[in-house]
Amino acid sequence: MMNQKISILMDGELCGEEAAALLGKIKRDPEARQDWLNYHLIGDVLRQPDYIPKNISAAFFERLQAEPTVLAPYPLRSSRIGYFAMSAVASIMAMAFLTWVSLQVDTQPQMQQTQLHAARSSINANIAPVNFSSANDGINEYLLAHHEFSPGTDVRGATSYIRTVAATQAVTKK
Amino acid sequence: MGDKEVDQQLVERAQRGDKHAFELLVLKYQRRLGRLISRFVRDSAEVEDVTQESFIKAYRALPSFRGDSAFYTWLYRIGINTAKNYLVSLGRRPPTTTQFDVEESEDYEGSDQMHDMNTPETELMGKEVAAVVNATIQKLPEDLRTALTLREIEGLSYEEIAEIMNCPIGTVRSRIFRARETIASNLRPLLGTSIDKRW
Repeated sequence: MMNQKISILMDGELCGEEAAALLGKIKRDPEARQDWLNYHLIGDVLRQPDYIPKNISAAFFERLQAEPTVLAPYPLRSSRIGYFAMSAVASIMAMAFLTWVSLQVDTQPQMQQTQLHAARSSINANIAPVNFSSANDGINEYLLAHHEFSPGTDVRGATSYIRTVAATQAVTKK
Repeated sequence: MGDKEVDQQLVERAQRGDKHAFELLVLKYQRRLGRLISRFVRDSAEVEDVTQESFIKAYRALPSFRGDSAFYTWLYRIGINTAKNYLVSLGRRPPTTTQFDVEESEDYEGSDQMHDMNTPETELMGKEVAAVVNATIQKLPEDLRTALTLREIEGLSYEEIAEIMNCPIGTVRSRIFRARETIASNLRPLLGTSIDKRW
């Protein structure tokens, strides 16, 4: 079975992963290496029967063992793929960050408003209703008029109008 | 995975420090490279030395191999340069590049010159190997012989052979393997079973 796979592999007809696995087996298995050698020899003899150079592998392998092991930072293709992959990931990360930041900016005022409403509701629930005198009404008017100068106001100028409208509605209800 | 891709896989493994992967490339190409070098160098012992030297140079140069060309084309260039340098070192004049082109080198048939350079031992062994291969292939069933010939001599793919022989690819695969295995089993007593044997 393995011999047949070697035959298919040397013809370049074995698929990628299977071929990679088989190459790993061939280099470890002496019999498989011999089959690899023999099958190639048959091809060489069929193509050029007049001259068959000797098998130099035994002598060569001794020389090869004495050679320092090559460690090449392969490969060009992989590095290109890696480069583009890194660029793509960086772009996606940047887009994600920008989206997150913009969402944060958009939702912050809403959250602040929601928190403010919640705080007011809880305050209103806890504090007993007080009958405001006419003097308090005057103070309220004063505070509403100068609300935009309050340090707690995010957008100076605009908030006061929003408050005024709300206050007007409250007054109308009364 | 095509033949070039198999080579590329082995090259990449060798580039990662796997010497055994390079050995498989040597087993595959040693005779083809030897035949190419024999066009420059006449003595068979010198051919062996130059072939080994070419493989060593190729191994050392692996970091510079980027896969822009096929591995064997790159290897053959190294072989030609090594042979030329060898001749120069001996004070002999190497042939000009136009006389020996890498692409045409595989189709070269120079049997007369090759017979001259063989030692008696090499020639005898070579003849025996060729005789066994030829005798076995003649005895093979016709479909096996045709499939192997179309693959090894014509260099056709399994798909092309299947079309010519009007059979499924799986049958082609099986026929080629059976043909190879039959020849190899007849060669084994001659070659020995160890990789370290001379042939």
